[in-house]
Amino acid sequence: MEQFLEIISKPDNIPIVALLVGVIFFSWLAWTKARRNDALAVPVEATLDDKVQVWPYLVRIEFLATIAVMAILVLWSVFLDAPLEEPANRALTPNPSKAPWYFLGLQELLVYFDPWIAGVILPTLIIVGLMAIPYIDINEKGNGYYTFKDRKFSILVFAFGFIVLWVALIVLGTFMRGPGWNFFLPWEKWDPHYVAVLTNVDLSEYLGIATRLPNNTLNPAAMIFGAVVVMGYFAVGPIYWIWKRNTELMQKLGLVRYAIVSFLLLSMGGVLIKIILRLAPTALGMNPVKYVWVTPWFNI
Amino acid sequence: MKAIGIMLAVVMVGISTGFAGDVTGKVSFAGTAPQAARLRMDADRFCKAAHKSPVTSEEVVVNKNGTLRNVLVYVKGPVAGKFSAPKDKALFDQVGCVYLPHVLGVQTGQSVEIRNSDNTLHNVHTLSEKNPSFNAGQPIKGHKLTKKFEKVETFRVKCDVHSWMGAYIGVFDHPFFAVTGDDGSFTLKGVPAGEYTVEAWHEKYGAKTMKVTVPASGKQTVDFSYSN
Amino acid sequence: MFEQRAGIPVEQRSYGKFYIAFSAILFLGTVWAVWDEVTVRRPWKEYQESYYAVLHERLDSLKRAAIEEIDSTDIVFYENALREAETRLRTNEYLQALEKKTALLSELDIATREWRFARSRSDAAYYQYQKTSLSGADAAAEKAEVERHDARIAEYAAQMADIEAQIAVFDTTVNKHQDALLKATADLRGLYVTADSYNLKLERASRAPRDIKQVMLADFEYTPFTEIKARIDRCQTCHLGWGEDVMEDAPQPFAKHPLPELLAVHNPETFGCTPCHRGQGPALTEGFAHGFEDHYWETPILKGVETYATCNTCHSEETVLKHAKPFTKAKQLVLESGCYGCHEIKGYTDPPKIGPVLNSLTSKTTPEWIYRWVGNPKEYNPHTRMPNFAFGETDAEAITAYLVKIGRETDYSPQRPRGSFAGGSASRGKELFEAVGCQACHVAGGYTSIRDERGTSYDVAPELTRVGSKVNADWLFDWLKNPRHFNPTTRMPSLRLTDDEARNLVAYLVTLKDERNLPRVTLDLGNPEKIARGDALIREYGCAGCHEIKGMEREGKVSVNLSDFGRKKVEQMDFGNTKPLGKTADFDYQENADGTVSVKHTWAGWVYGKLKNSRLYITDRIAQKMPIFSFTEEEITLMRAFLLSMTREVALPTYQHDFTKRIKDLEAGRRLSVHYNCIQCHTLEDRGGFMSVKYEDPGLGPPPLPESQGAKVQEQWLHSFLRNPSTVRPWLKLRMPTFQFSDQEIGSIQKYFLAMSNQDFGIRDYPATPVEAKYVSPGRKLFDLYQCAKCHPSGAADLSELSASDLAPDLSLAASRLKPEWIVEWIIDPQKLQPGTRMPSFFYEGIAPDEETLGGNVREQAKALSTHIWNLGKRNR
Repeated sequence: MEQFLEIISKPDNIPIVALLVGVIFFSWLAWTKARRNDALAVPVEATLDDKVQVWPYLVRIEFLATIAVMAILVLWSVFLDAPLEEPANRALTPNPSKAPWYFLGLQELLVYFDPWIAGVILPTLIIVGLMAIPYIDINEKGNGYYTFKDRKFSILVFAFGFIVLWVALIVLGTFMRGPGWNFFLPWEKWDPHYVAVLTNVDLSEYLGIATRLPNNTLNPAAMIFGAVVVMGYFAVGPIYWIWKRNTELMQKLGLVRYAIVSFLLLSMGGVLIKIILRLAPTALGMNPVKYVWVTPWFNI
Repeated sequence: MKAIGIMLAVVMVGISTGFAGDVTGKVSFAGTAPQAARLRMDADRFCKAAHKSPVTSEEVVVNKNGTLRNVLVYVKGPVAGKFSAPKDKALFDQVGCVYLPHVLGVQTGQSVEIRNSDNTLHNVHTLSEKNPSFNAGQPIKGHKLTKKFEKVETFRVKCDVHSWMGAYIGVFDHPFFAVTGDDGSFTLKGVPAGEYTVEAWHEKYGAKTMKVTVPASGKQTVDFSYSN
Repeated sequence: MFEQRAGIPVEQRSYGKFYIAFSAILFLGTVWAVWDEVTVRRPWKEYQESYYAVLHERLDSLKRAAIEEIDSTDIVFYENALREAETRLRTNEYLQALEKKTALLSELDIATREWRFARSRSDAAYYQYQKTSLSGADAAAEKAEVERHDARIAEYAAQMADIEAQIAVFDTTVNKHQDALLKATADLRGLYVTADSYNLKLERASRAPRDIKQVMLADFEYTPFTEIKARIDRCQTCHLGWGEDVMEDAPQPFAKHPLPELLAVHNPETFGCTPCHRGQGPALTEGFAHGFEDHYWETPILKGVETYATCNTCHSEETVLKHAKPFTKAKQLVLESGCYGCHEIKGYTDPPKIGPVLNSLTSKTTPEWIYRWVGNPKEYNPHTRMPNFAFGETDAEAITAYLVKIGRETDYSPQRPRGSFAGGSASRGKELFEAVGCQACHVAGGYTSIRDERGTSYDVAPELTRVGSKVNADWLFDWLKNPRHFNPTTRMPSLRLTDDEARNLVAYLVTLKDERNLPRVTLDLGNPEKIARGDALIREYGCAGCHEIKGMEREGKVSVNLSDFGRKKVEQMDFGNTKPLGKTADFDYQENADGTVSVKHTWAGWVYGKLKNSRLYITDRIAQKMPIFSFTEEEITLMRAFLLSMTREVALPTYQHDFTKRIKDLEAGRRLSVHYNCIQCHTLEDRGGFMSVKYEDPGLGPPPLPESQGAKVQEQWLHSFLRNPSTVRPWLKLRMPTFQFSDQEIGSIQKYFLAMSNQDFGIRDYPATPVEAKYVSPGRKLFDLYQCAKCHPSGAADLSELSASDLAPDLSLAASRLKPEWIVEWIIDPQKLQPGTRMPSFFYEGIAPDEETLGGNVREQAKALSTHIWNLGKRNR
């Protein structure tokens, strides 16, 4: 616990603690406002017709905010020094070696995926997905007011992506990953000599299909099995389309938008599923899953 | 009240003028005196010829009155005040292949004249540790060296040519030291009043100390005793 | 309040209070930040203030003491003299003369001005004359004008000379009085010379700027990415008194550096502090500068003996560091303990193996002895250098089986027929053992003074107290006669023993029996399985790192490379089952009552535990092969400092101590002197000389080899002496042994001596050194006058009359042994070349006792004496 307090109070980690508090506060704010609006027939914001000039009435408040922020930064600088660490040395890297706090979620993904996927494909998907939002979100409701009822799908998906997959992974990476990138609970001491159990197996091996043949080449059966599982998972999208293609929503969305949305959504869910496959079996006394699909070119 | 005032005045006067007393005494020797070793000076014809009668070692010399000779008695430790070195030179002579005196006390900064009165080669080799050690050869009769010692120390002096020759020099930063002579007595004159440790040092029997309170005037007697 | 506020339309809300509050916070925050920056974050300012306060106080009290020291009678005397001189300035004689002189001086001023003007007029007139005459016109009038002015010049010049002459008359009087005053003033001031010097320092201290003192080494080291990195060092901002004598015992951070002679060659003003002490140079608060508060600073300040570890940043190739005695000792420990047998260590690439050859052991001792020795060598000889591998009975038997097998295959046999050893006298052998020099290296019969003086936990040669139960007498006789016959690479020298002497020694040594009642063991040595197992064990435990063993010639070093060990992180160290000691404990290692051991879980703690008991960190899972040494606490601390120095980080070549030919020569010699243990008997570069404790009279012990040794003896003589030592000091019972050096080793030693005295190796024809005729007869005269022969026998002198220690070397040998220029220097001041020598200085304080011969010139007389000595030897040749 002592160690946890030490980590939490490190100058480096203050933004993360602030992020946690901020995320919780603003989520709470948005949800309370949304709930209030959802209970009314007309959102509160829609009834407000008092409009004022930006200059000077908004600008003066922004100016005050600027002064307040500067005051906070100046005082911050009095109390906390720049958190410098040891000089870089390629022969002696720090353990654990951690990315800047805002990338810790991505670094955490390295535990579950190969670097190529965790470091290139997934970040690209995140950025592309965020860019695509204005084009795929055709729900015009919720403009200028807080609501949940009218935008259930968008809010849930975004909250899942941001809070669970981004913030939670950052918190996990910051506070619970110790030396050797081993997992430590907050009350456990970060022991550099900690020995973790290493019993990862591939998913196919659960069914008795060895990933590698005795001559150390890939087992085609395992490869096909993995392909079936992964492709089967991604096939949920088209199947759902075929099933629901005549509904009003689907018609409005159109095939292209639907394809993009379903692909991004499934990818996001896939990340979570992979994390669960890695973490959950240990709790059940089974071997964690290393890969679902092993190929000579990539592993998922 | 008045009495205290007067006493205070006396004390103050006492401090400001610095009353001083003498420390006297003698160094006795109990038991039978050891047989002094005979010095064989065969190695140097000159030395052998210089003495008609056999010469004995001066290591332990017990006087007729049962006192010990060549004991260096001195006030140990710092003595308050400054004592400038006497202007007179101390003489350290080599006569008949024997050092004269056998034990010499000098003050820091005092000049010591080292003289060879023999018509043979002598060298004066000081085995000092705090003062810089030197080893000077004196091949010519009447040759003189003048030397000052700056550090408080008692050390041995030897001659490498004549193995039997040895002496001791004690260096002090005050004038309160004496070497016992024929009667084994010593006097340390004008020691400032106060408490001191007086030490007697003998080359064979080592050092003995005594606590002494020196009165503002008059004498304080301290006796030392050595035995076999 | 806020609800009320929400009721007011935005346009009408006032934000004045917010503005004032935020601005006030920003303003005060900024003021605070500035104040924090200039005071709280600059504690060095306070340090500097208090430093100069302390310095001022000390200098002031010294100054006052210096004033008090002045004899008051002197002051009165010189003050009176001054007053008298001042009264002389009030006498009429002086005042009148001064008045007249002043009046004359103003007259002189006027005359000088007129003279200058006249000259100027003359120049102008001359120009006009020149111009007119060159134009061809008549210039007579101009010429007259010039002449008129020239006459005026002469007139004024005469007037000036006249006035000056008058001034000179009064000047004598004036100067006489004024000089008297100046002299009196200077005399009085002269009493205050010491006080004035303190005054000057006080003034300098009061003017000293309060600022950051920074040293920058632009090109000291590389970053981990091999780019040149500047080193910034600001330690002296607080540590101001490092070079100030009066701050000798001042509290930190003001104290004077304890090693001024080291600083003389590593000037902190240009070299800084952190290259030796480590710490964070640019930091200006104690915790960060020393590096303890900065968790990420990898090189916190070094304390105590560990500070010497940084010597290796530049001096890693040297094993003797003049100003770092403890580190020199640490390096010697590493060399003598043979760490390099198993570990790769920077700077110790190829020293010879430290253990004996194990190929013919059966000729020397019994299988039982080998078995017990392998099991635990310390049991037989607690001071052996061989560490304890703690082999169990089975393993010890297997190793014995292998050694016995190769022993039986040997082709060694003694040179003399069996039984030649018989017939010696044990008592005479004991006498010889004590006199001839065996005791220098070997302990036997309870005499341990030399071992104690050496002070290491191990002996460099085996203790012989139980040797009678170990070795075979035939072997021993052969060994004593010629050690190299049994082992061609042994360090054991030959003492040129006669057969009788060797027999006596054997007779004595075989009486030294093992008194312990050891149970007999039965060993199964012929079993091929056991032999194979022994073979594997010997390879696994790296025995060949220290011993030459048949069949193991190609084995490498079995353990880790230590070349970067000093930088190993504590996370990389395994502490086994030891309990952690608190970080605040001031010791690193503790044996608990319950039999467990606690060590500090730090780098230093780990190393301490490892060197204390190398099997300490053993666990059920982790085996450890390093054998157990029995180092003392001091040795552990020194070796730890050595290990701390093991880093790959070295200074740039500009800072590296030039590994010149001279240092290479020195280094080769130093290693040989440790290998052959020359330093056991001879003092070399302040190392060793342990044997001298045996001799009350240093003249009877082995002679020291001062740094001037190379300049002292002739190369040819040294070569033949090292090859086959001859008698220089006939009164010594002690013998310089014959080490059977190879030519290369002799060359190394010669170059070592020459390098120590900064000379080059060269071949010189000493007999051809010419003798100057003018020195011949004064030399003979001085030789007699100074009675040199009193101590130095020459040729066939009668030795019986003098006691042995009275003797000095035979001067007739000098011409074939000593270098002529060295003889001159030696005669002038022997103490300088060899402090403590019995040879007196005849020219004490540079004065010749005979002031007539050769004008009393010391060097001339010394040359004359050396000429005579040279001639003495020539007659002998």
